Amino acid sequence: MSSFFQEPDSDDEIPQLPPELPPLHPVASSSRASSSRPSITQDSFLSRLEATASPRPGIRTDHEDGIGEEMEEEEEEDEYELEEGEVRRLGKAWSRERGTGGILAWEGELVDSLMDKLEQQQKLVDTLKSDPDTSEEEHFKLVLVQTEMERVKYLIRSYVRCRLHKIEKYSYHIILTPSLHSLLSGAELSHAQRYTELLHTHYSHSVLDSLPEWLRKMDDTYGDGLSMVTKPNPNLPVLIYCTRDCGEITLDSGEQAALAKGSTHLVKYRLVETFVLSGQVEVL
Amino acid sequence: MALPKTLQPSLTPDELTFLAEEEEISIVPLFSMTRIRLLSGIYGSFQPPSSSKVPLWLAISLKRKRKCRIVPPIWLNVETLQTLLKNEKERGEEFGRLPGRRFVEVSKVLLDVAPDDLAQPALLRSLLKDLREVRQAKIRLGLQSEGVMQGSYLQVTNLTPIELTELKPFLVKAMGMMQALEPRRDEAEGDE
Repeated sequence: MSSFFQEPDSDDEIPQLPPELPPLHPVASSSRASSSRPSITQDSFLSRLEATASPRPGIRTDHEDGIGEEMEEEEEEDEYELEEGEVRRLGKAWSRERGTGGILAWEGELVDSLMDKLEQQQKLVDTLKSDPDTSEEEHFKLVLVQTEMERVKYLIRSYVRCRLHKIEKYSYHIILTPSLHSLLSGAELSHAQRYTELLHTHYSHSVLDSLPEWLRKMDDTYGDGLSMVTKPNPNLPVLIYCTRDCGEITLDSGEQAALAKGSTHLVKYRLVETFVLSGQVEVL
Repeated sequence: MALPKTLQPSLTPDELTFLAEEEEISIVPLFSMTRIRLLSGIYGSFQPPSSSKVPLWLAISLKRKRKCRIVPPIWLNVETLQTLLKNEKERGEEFGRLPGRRFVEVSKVLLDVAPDDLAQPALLRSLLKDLREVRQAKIRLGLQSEGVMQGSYLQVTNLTPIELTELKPFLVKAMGMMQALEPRRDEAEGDE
């Protein structure tokens, strides 16, 4: 039943360095890009960058986060070095998503910002590639830029897939629990809804409709309290690494366990949920 | 499904290596190039005899094109590894602290891609292997000791993510089993 959602195998592969250079360029984007700089002649690399990298006014500048879409900028100061870049943050979010049972909040801002940057980067690559004035050094940089783009794309894809997996697994539970809706992106929520509907229709047509009415429900609870709806298990252990001191937690046995900075523990998710959500601990 | 079965239990070693490739490392470039701006930061400029810091993936990429020499991390030499190994053996049941949480991945990548930048790579490889074996033996011993499987808590400080990856599926399953067997079942079953 999941064949609809099957993805090609190639998605499982981690991009290897260096990637194949994609064939030169989507007519659409290169023509758009070249039309955006008709006035520039004999341009230097930098002025071409300015012409292509900021086509829209009011776009966020790189100064805020230190991660830019241009490849090169001689005069730029790099004082604004971030202690943690967006790529790394997404890496952590991915690891956290993979390590826990339930669905966590969608890192919308982070993903959107990276997607924007990827798009800008792509435009730049397309422009420079089809340009005969591009020097050999620039071509070499392009290869590196593209390598990184592949890495970031892989990361985003992995993150999204992992969430998709959880959403499909717990689709019924998600639909039935309004408090979870805010954790999903719009597309994810509508996917959850459609997936649940599909599943329901499928079960109804294949089996449920032929059963007596009182056996047709899909969200029933048995006499012993066991529900038909699959829910994440909060008692499932998670591996956590404390990036700072988190005090002590009380285990089920009544014992105390100290979550000191730099220590690693395997513990029930329920007991450390607050720390996971606040980012005080990393999930492995 | 969206996530193949093989990827479900935890991050795979390949995926961990991918994450480890974001760590920074020093290289000595063999070519000159002005600064390069990437999504993860600005690197360079590259000017032959002086070294610069770049993410590991970039270093590997340049190395494969024979455009740089990788400066090995301070811990990747025979002496340090011998000390680590000695400590590991002397510590008894406890795990020694490794230099860096991506220690295993980084050293593996460097040995694979840049053995010519390391001193005595063969010896390094065998020391790393010894170290790994000593630690694995401790893990096995630890799992046999009484009490480990009793509770639902385990302190695994100083084990790196990649070592835990090997253990996790087993532990999670075992703990789930123990929970299911507990007399007072608080919605323990169900998942996985």
